[in-house]
Amino acid sequence: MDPNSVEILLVEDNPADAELAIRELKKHNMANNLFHVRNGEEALDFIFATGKYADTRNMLYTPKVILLDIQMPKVNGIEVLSTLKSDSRTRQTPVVILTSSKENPDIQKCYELGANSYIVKPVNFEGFAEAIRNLGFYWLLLNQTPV
Amino acid sequence: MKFAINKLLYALIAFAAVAAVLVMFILRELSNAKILTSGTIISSNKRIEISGISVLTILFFMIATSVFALSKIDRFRPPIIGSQMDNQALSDQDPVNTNEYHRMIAEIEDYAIILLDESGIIKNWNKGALKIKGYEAKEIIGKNFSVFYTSQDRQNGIPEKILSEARQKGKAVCEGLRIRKDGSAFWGSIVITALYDANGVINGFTKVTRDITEKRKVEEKFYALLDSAPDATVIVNEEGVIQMANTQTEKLFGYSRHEIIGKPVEVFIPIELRSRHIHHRADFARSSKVRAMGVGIELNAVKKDGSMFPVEISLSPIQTEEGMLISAAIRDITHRKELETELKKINTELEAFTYSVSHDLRAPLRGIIGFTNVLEEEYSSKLDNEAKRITSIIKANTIRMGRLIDDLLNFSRTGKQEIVKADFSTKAMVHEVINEITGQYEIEGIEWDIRELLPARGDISTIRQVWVNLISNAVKYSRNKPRPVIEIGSWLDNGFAVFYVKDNGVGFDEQYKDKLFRVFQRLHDADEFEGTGVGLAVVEKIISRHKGKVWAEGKMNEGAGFYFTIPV
Repeated sequence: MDPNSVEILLVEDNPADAELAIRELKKHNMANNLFHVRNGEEALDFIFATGKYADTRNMLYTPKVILLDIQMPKVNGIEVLSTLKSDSRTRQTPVVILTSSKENPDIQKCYELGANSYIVKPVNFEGFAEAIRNLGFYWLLLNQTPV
Repeated sequence: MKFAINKLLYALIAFAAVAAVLVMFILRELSNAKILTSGTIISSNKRIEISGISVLTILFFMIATSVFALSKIDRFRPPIIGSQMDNQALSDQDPVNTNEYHRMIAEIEDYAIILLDESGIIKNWNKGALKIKGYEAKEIIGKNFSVFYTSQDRQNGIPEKILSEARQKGKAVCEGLRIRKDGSAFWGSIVITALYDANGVINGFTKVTRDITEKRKVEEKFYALLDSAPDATVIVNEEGVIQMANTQTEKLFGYSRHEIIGKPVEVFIPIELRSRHIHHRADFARSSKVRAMGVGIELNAVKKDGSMFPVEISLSPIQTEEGMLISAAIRDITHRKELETELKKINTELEAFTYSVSHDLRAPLRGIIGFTNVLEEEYSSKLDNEAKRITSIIKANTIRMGRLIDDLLNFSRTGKQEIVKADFSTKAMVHEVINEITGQYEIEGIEWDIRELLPARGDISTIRQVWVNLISNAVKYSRNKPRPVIEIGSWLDNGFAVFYVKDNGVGFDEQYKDKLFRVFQRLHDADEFEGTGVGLAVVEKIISRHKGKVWAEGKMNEGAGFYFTIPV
């Protein structure tokens, strides 16, 4: 896949959770332009076209939405989120938080940092669609409009 | 006594003089006033001014006269001129007064007032001496005053020492154990004053003794009390000078008592805070109410070796004859502080643990459920009925595990959430909860018997949780009855509102009722009634955090009643 045509960036360290999310999105033909990174460090490298993505990525092509797990080793979701939302180049990119419980106190913190929505895992299409609707660009993603 | 009489005489003379002058002035002023009022517009201010000056003049005169009179009296103090005022001299001057004076002294009962010759031989005896020491005048006159002393004091030459002190300084004051005629002891407070002849040579002594045994007992009790106090306690005067300190103070601070008595209380305070403390101390002396010192701030005290330790101090004012004293109870809270720090650390660890449980335990469950779903959906054609039954069992157990984790987290959060109290209507809350529960589970056919529900004060969200748990329990355990009845009510009892939820459901065996409110304890099988055994434990925790109580009554197959109280 061309790393510059990625529309959904999934940041998830748990392989089972990632696979279930990808399966669910595939069922609804939404995983074609999905890219999966396994931790926060890699997510930042991908988005900012640094590290191992320095040669293959142009950061002007930002993903349309980032699905971001909170609890990850090394750089966690909250740190990724605060980096994205404090950089003018990435501030506009919608971020949907993946959480294992809707009672997670981190959700509030994520909203304060500028997260756009959250989905409780396991990710299912209904939850995802709802999150996208909340973002207000449902049409953008589902209609596959060109960038 | 002689001096007092002289003082009185002079004061009377001075007073009479002033009074005479005062009367003269008033008469003059009155006549002035008459003239002025009849003399039309002449300003009344002036008159007042004149009066003002007059009054000032009189006051000045009064003070001056009094000062003069007092300075005269001072000159009669021993030893120089006082020598003229001895017994003999006085009787020469005024035989009537001397007789009265003798009679007066003889009649005094509360003080033993006796005369000694220059070697300490007793020359006369009054009623007070009889009362305090038990000897009749005839038995004791002619004996040496050392008979009143303990044999030990006599061996140590104490009576002689006291007399020689009075000889040198004109006066000796002491306190100590003295012996009555019957051999019993009392605690005496004694003043011995030297008397002088016309040439200024000592020719005897007056000795005034007061029995302060009772006072001493009270003091001893007070000291014993002070020493029995668990805290280091010091008593300071209004100037902040340490008057007393108990044994605990010696132990805590490492000073011996005599090192600190007479020192400013600031010796216990870190050097950088001393000047501020002096200021606070003055404030306390003015307000003088029992209170804790430095509420809300961490106080530290300093030991003799310079080491600091955390303390809690409670101050109370004591009104005494000598003026206001302040008692400060100082408690070493080093151990408590350590425990608090430890507790904070444990709580932080527990929070991290809880978070980890919520995330890490849930992750594998998601995998189990998620992939079982994949099996069921994508491989359903390859699964026979038995395989499908098994996948559904896997999912049900996994869901149950998820609920247990949620409930456990919920239970642990209940103990930590802050209680914010507000007034609310129980009636409105209960109706809302009933609607929510019946709506959620589409329950019909329950007879709700809602009695009087008192308004309450508490943390609205957690008390609401109590009602949710109790009412949903009642619904759950009575749903198999042909006619479920749930009664909810309240009454007032001794400062507490008592609330209850009763049902006519399956009830419980009373012998297990202690287990009801414990976490994960259930009295029914999971396949009969779903649940994790956390609901009542949460109820118990919430109510105990409101300083209330919970209890239950029940009978197998006849129903159960759950009660809780909230202070009103």
